Amino acid sequence: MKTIPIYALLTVYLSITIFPLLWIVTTSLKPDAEVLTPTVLGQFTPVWDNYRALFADSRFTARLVNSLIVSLATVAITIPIASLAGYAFARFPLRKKDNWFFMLLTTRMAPPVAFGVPFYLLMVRIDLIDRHVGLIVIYVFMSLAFGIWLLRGFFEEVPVEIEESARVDGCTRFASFLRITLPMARAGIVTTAVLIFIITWNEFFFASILTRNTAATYTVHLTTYFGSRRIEWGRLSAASTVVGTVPLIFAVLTRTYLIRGFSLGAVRQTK
Amino acid sequence: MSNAGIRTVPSDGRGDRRMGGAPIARFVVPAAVLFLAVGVYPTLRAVLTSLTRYQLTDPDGTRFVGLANYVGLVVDTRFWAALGRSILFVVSSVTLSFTIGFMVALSLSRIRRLRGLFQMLLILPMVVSPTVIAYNFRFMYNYGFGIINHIVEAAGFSRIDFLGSTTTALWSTVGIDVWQWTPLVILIMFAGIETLPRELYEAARVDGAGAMRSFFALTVPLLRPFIVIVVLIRLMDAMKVYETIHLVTSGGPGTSSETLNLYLAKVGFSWFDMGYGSALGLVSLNATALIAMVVVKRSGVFRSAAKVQVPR
Repeated sequence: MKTIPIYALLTVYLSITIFPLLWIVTTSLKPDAEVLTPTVLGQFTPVWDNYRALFADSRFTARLVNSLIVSLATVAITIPIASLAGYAFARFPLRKKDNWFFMLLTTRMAPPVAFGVPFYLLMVRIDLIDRHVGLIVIYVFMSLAFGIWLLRGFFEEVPVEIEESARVDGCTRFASFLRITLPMARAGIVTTAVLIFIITWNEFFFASILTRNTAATYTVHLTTYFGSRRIEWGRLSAASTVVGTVPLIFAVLTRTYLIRGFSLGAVRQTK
Repeated sequence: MSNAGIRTVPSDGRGDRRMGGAPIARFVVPAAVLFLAVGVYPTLRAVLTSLTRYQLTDPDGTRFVGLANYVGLVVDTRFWAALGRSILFVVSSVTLSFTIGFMVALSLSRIRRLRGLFQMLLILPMVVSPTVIAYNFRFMYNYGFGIINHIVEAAGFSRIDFLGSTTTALWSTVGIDVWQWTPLVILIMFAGIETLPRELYEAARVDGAGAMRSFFALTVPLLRPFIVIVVLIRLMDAMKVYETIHLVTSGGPGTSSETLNLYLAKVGFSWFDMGYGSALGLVSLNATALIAMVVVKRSGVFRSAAKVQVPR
């Protein structure tokens, strides 16, 4: 059996990859006295104390809701704007297209930290510090290029002939986009939306500099488990499990196209 | 898998020339307005602020200082040290994740069963927030009670002070980044390996080429587009890393794991030195954009004329 060493290698790699995630869940189910011990499931009686404490804490639930509001709003604003622009890039001839794209992609490539000071000063100026709107504006700005880029690729795959025949029948350009191309690129739009949701949901840096309390998201909230006297590892693990489950569900649902999104559209899986 | 291979798909020329330029405005105006509305002020403000001494805690003391902040940067040893650590972080993270990822992808392509399960599980680390990952690794790396040290001890070695020692702190954060992003390398390289034409390998075998020979003469050149893409993406992502270091070591102990992004955030948001922070931000932004541009232009992967297709 030549494949046995291969299976062994893969199993080792997979264990290392999955273990930290399982460890979060395990720790979250431990009673306080067990949290710092290396016991695994079966060696202790799992309890829901950490989760109960978590959801009894109105600050946690408020910030979880903030994350949800900010991420959903970002997706809801980005997708229509990016669809229009992505369609234009896919269908209209444009000089120096690649240079435009490159400019767009800088917002995706550059370290967010480099934008920190000017965006902070902007938000101070227009008085949007610690407001949902402020965070949403930044997130839309940061995801727009990524959205346009991915959606352009999905629109290009919709055969242009269908649209053309519709236009011969008297359909306007905008109507043919709305009624034909958009519905046909549905799967791509959903994938793009999910990826933008995940990226926004997971964002830490801007949330940490632009929010204090009212608009704070869960990523900022996790810091509060690091008290000056002790670190609440049990609560932290429970919170991590809850907030980590959200993107996992979405990712599993859209896994077919996810690699394409993660590779900035470069690796395409044809059906 | 019959006509598997890498094809280039022309995407230009399908555009609608009859329509000319007129209706395009309707489609791009919203995005353009948003980019200008949100982007212009910060850009101008960053440039202007970088030419001033501007302490957020003392706004009345703001004054024009010309290029003093940029001159200050040149002689700032802490900046150069941070840049050095960034380079070390990026190079080692990309190299390690690529090497491990490619090996695992090759192994994965050799087996039939459980592929789907593997692929699904590999997505998990990538979609969980780096914030969650960072804190969890901080827990596992702990000197006193961390599970990793329990395992190290059980294996008969002495405990390692992963985050408390100046020699290991930066490497421990590299480990986190490699852990989180190797799955991406695996998934992209695996997609690439699936496109390799089997006939070529049989021909090579008939001609007497060994496994090593066909790996370097066939596999590597054929996978070149995938290698370029994956290295490029890893490079860009590694240059962006912030939480994975900030939340685990805060750049410490001392400044032993302080990378450029951490230093930047510290200047801006711990010292509130907006002038110098803007200068640093602009330099870092332009440097990363330049690196990315050179790599993108050279490789041509994202050129709209060519795309890598992966038949399933």
